[in-house]
Amino acid sequence: MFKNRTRLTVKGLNQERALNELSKEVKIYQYSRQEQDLCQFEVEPRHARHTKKLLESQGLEVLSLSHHGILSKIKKLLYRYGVIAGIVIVLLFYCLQYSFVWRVEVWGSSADNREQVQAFVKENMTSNFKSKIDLENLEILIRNNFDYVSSVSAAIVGQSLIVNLNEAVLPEEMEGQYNPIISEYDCQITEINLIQGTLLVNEGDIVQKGDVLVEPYIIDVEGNMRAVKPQADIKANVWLTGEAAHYDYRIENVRTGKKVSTTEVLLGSLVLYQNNSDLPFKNYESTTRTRLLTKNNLLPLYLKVTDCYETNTVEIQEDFENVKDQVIEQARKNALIFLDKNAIIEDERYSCSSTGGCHIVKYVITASMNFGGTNEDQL
Amino acid sequence: MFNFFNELKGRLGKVDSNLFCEYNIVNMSGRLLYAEGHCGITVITQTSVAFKLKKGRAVVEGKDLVLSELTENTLLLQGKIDKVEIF
Repeated sequence: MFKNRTRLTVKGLNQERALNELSKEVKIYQYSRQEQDLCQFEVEPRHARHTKKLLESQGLEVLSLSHHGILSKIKKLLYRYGVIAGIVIVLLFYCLQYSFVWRVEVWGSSADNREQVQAFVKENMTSNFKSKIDLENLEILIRNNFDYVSSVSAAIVGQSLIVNLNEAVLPEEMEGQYNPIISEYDCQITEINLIQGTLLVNEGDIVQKGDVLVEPYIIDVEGNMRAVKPQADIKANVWLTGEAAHYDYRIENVRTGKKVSTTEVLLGSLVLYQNNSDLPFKNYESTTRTRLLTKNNLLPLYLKVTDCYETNTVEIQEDFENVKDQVIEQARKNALIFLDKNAIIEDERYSCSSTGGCHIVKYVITASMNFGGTNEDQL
Repeated sequence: MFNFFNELKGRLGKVDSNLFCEYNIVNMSGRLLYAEGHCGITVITQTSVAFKLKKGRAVVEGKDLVLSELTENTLLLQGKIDKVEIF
């Protein structure tokens, strides 16, 4: 396979004579005679042409001449111009296209911004040729043209231009989007000191929860609307109401003081252990408490304790006048639940209504609230 | 350069070297025959190969004979060699 030889098939008479003549000049290998006038032998490739010439001068006919060995294979390959041309073209194309940037990728940004930056980079790339792309300039351009970009780095990796962005967190003022000051209570405006924005209410106005008090814009001298951060000091009276009911005759369940507890150990929702005892109570109330037995995340073991309290049904007959103060106090407490800690109580009132042994106390607290100057301190 | 035939001749002592100068033929296990000092092939078939010597003729008979190498005065014959005759 590795020996490089040229094999000749020769036809003609008196081959011995020709062979002797040839052997004086050329070394002959693997001579075999298939027929009287047909033989085959090998010579070194460099002697092939001379051999053929010599044989023909001796009156022999060279039927075939073929080259064998690795060199001839390479030579054959090299003579295949199509293959060579293809390889050369592919290599050239590869080398050529490797010098270009074909893709722009933007990392570290939201999808919308990514597309914007990508389009911007494509527009501002003077050439796709790697050596002509000025990465430093590109970084500066991106930083200058996109406010939300705090830092940027660009690099060519393979055939991609990768732009890595860090988005800046802009304060609300720079975003240019503000929320109006909105009332969160039903109230009456008592005092307004507008700092910035457009006021929609006046002193004395009664507003409902959700009403806009100050809009986040102003109309300038030219009549144009300009967004601003709404700011105002607003004082308002807020009405807070609470209710409590009393029945002259009622039935209540009263605990007798007897208690029975049952315990369960759970693995997730699977009951592993249960300490159940028959309840000796006819009427009872129950409370359940569960706590984790283990302090790791491997086994979710819980202890579930159920306490059952015996109760008796008791009929209660109680006159409203005897407990009136307690009911009023209960109604007041119910109203105070909604009171803001900065509010000042201006007035307190209550009213009672009775129908068929049922007495309802409504308690109204009028509180003055001082609302902050910005939309962050909304009502 | 080392020459096997000269080495053999040297072992004979003082002998007229002209006696050994015509040809050398080596038969290796009846499968390979090396000859030097031939003066040209006269017959070559798959069963016999004959070649001229300076003073005479050599005939090799056998089967599937292939002339592995042939130069102006040496030859290497491959195949099943049955008989080598010098005339």
